Amino acid sequence: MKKLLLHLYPRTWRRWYGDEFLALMEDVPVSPRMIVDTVRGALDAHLQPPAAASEDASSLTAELPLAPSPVTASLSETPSLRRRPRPKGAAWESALDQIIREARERGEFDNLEGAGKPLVLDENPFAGEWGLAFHVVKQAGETLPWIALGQEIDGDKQRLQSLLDQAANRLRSPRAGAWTDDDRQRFEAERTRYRTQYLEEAARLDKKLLEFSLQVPVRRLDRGRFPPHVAARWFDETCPPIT
Amino acid sequence: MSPGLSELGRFSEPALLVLISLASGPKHGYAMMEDIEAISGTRPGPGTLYGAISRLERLDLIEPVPSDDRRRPYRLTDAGAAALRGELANLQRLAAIGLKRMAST
Repeated sequence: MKKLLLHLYPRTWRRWYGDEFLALMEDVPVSPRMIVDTVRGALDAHLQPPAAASEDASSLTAELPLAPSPVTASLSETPSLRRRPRPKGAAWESALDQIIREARERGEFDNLEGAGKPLVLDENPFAGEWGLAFHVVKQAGETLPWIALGQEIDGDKQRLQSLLDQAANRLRSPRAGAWTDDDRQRFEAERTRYRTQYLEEAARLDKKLLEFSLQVPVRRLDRGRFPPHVAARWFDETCPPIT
Repeated sequence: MSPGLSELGRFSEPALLVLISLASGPKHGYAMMEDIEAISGTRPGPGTLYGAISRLERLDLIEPVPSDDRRRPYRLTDAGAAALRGELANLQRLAAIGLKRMAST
């Protein structure tokens, strides 16, 4: 419920204050007054004018000539709260931290049962109704969906490149000399076949790239897009038609 | 007149209370809530509190303190301390005028 309330706040706000706000809400007892106040805070956060942003667009390195994704392009124009790096360093010790530190210094954390051995996490006594869900996910292997999609994309890109190589090999102009009409026709037919196949696979790749760009958590890891006109240009430059 | 909060734009009461709260030392959100309740009689909700915190941080009047804790303590910046001093001086002057007028009626 408290996480739901947090999600009313703008995404940039959540990135900046989300953790500490959630921690604060955990300490505060739920009451109608608290809920109303939190919702009003969310509205206020949305209405606050954004501070001046100076985010330089990350350069996307691509092996293929991928165009920058429109999703990431718009993100670099989104105004955000002023970014100042949160300093790391000496910890400010709260009363609770002090209690824990002193307990540790007294040796109360030494020789705990199971110390030095891997944690046994198969049975999670706190999972409750989520226990079955965790179990299924664990069995299925734990890759994040966007990482798995990224791996798929890598495979597809390679396949697309070898398709292009194959087409280039097949569609070399034949021996020097006049081309018969027959030659031309056969060449054009084969070229069209390859081109259609290439563009279809490029379109499938582009769709996956779009999905990826929507899932990827960090802009820097985005892989751009492979729009049809770029794919066509690549094919036409590698396997030009008969002039 | 020293630059008080009024010259930086309308300042809400929660923002002033946060600054006063931090004047006695760095605090995280919950500690601020309790302190403000102690000094003013009302406890701000988390939304109100963080509304004030975000505004004050954006104006560089407060800053986060390095911490390993999930709860992030804040402290006054130098600019914040100066702004608070100025605003409290203004309020004190106003209070003095008001009280004097009330006394002579």
